[in-house]
Amino acid sequence: MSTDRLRLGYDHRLVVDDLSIDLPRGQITAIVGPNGCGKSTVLRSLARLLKPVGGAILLDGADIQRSRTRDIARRLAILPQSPLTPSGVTVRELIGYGRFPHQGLMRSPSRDDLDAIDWAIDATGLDSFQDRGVDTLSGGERQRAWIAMALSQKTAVLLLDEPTTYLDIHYQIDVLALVRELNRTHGITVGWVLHDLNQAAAYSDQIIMLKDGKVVNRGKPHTVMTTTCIKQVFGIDCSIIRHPLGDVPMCLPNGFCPLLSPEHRDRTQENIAPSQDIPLNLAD
Amino acid sequence: MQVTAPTAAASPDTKAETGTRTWRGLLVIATGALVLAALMIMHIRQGMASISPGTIVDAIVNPDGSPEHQVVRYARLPRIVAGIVAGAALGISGVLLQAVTRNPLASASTVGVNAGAYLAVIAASIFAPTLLAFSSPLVAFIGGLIAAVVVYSLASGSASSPTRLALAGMAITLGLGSITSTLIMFNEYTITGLYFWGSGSLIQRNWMALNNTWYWVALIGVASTLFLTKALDVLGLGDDIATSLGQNVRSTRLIATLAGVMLAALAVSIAGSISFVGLVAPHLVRLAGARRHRMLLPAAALWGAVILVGADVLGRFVAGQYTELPAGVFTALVGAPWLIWLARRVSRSQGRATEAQTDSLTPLAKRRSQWLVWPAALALFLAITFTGLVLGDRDLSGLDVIRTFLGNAPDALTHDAVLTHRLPRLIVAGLAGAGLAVSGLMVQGVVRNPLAAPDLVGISPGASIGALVVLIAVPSLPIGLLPIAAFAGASISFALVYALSWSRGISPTRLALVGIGMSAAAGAVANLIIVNNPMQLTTAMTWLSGSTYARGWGDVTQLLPWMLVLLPVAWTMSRWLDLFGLGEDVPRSLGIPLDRTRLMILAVAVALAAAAVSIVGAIGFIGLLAPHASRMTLPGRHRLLIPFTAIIGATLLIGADTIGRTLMAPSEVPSGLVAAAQGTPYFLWLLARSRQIRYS
Repeated sequence: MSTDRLRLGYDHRLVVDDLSIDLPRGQITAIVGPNGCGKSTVLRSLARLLKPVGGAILLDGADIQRSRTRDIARRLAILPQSPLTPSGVTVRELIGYGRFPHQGLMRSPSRDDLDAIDWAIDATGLDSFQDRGVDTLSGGERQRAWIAMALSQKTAVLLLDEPTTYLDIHYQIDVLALVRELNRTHGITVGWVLHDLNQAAAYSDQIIMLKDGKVVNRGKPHTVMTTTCIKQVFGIDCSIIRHPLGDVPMCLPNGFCPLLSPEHRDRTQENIAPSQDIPLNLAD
Repeated sequence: MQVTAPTAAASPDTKAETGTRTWRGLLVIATGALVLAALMIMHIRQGMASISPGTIVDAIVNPDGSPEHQVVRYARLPRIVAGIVAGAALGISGVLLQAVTRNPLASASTVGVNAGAYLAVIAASIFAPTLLAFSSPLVAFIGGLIAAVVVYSLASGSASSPTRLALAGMAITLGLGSITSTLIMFNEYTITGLYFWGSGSLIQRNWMALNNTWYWVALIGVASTLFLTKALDVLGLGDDIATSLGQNVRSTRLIATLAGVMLAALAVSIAGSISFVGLVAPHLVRLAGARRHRMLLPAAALWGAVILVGADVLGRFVAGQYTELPAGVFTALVGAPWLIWLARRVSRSQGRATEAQTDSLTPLAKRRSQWLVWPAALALFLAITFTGLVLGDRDLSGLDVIRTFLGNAPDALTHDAVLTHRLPRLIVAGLAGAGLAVSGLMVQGVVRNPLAAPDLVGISPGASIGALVVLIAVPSLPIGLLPIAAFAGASISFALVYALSWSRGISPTRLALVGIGMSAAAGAVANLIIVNNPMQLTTAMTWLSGSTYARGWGDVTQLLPWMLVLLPVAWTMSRWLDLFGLGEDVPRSLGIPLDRTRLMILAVAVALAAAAVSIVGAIGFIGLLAPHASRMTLPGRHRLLIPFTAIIGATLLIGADTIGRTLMAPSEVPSGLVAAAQGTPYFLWLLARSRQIRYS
């Protein structure tokens, strides 16, 4: 899935002008950037929730604005940032809504539908919750239920808008690992907006850094997670280190050490500076 | 951004609850069917001639043309069937429209169907009686449909949203209603019987109305149940999710609205404008446990029929053998206690789901040009006030007015006209308008529903009963008691609403539902008083529409102290209102005792509206739409919004008073009606200007 010279805006304000990005098939692509850079706007437009002002969004080579919305729903699912939680709907019923694009108007659920729902419940580990009301779940469980709903749609592309917001670290890792697992075992193409750079780096194949609606950098986590890039996009000084247990770049904002005197901080930076952009084994 | 906090305590019995859900839904339907059957039996046995059950069966199965059989076949049966068909249509239409607008307060009246139908019938009876004689159901149907189409097209455009639909519907309803009331008032003798129709009645003279409609109701009802239920469930998850699931949100909304409107218009053509069934039937079945639309639609249809037929049984029972009372009056009396009882069982956590999902409309004024709005509003206010002094039954010159104020009036007549007649009226109008508008702003802020208004917590209906008791029911009471009786009525009905919605605290949803119930019941009682005293129709209508006729300095001295105290008090509450706009958790976390604060705000709002209503009568438009108009013109904090709303309300009612006095001089159009008629276009213009909608 890709965009071609995409222009997006609300009212008369253009948020994104001339954006061409690409979500490679079978890979996980993270869109990151500062608040208001247009990353959620881009994601919403990819899922045809927002109509572009100009340009095109291509799914398997076809313009999604010209396709039937139901056909798209069979190939692409999105989990928006904070969906409404309906009252009195059970987890299983909620997940069942994901079968909407596959069902006729009046046909009762087919074998395929039930299989897809069971699979989604299984994949998200919601077995013991399936008869609970969605409004009685905790934040993490609820997020998993929503992901399961998107999964039961059985699409080749899954878009997620900040799926880890409001979750504790346990559920954050839970959700991230679940999505990567789905990507690895089922080849689902994933596009997500993430706020946490380290999560984006650890769980994505490709990172696209946006600023003011423009791509500042894109590429594998190793190539975009550099001090210069992050300074340029987010305006903070940071150090990039390697995860002690493996080859994953981690960003540590220098502001985390407020007790260091300014001179000391400068010195520390000098010490790190020579090696900062090449601390990693770039063998890929 | 919306923080979905995890619900604190998951109830332990959720699992069992969901397991029995389907059963409960079926139970709701089965009970409905049984109650309906019982009501039908009671209904068919009611009437002037006592007819034995055997004869009734004979008349249906094996008619022999005897008078008894004729009565059963052509008077009683059509009446029952009319109740069932219209009730079912209204029930389904209510479910559809509430789902489409995502607003629990929506119903066919919200999208203008009833108002359009009523106006069409009234206008036809005055201007084209032959048309009405030809087919009154058709006239009603077309009128309702046109109004709804206008509402829908006003609300849609590039960005249709539930809020816009509801607001446009309310504006059109009030605007058309004011025209209808004016027509009724000036043609009292032509249309006394039609006021009856306006309250809704099941009387059928033959099968004609039903023969042309029942299959449409059945067709649309069945089609909706078969084809729309899944789409409506999905729509309940929000536009984004629905789109993501491949639903064409706009066309779903269009089709469901169209179906709902058609059904409501059909019901109107059968039984007149029956207002309460479409609103209450969906809530009844939802509160009884039906959640998904597959169950909701048939259950609401059934219970809609139960309410309407039940109301008719009750109405005939109360009226006795020789008179008739409109069934519409009794739908409210039958449905309201039920609604209140069920609403009391709504728990706090459940309640949140029924809150209206609002989206903010982009304001008219850009932040930068907002300072311009103030002088513009003040200038308009002064200009209209001055015009109000100049115009009247006898137009004066502006110069004369100024000279009168400076103490040298050209003649005694001018002096009188300006200082004793016009000035106090305008002051009363201004004060009342400001009070009503600010009251509406406060109620909307607390209940967090754009369709809320002072009426919602029972103010106008309560005041109306108080006033009608003085005006009509006990004519020996001195007329000077009227303001006091109205104020007392408003306060009592608010106290009742508040007490009935209290159970370990107040939830806005419960308050709104109980308020609907109480208002409807009080409105029904008021209607009952009027219908029973057709001679005083105009007096009553004038008061009910709100009038500044012949208000003098005495009224000013009654109203002024209230406003001088209450408006500043309201203003000191602006910080609270700002915080209430952020939901319940924010004010609570900032250390505001929710229930106490809410009660204080509401009490001030009630006092403002009650004081205004007791002097000028039940003016509906200003409390509902002036706050929206001011929010759309000048969004932001209540510190500025409250004074601005007061100016808008005052300007509206002063302008209405002026127009009402001059339009048909020497006759007067009640200013409440003019306020609605002139405010509607302004409001619709604002709505059209705020085309784009900002989703937060």
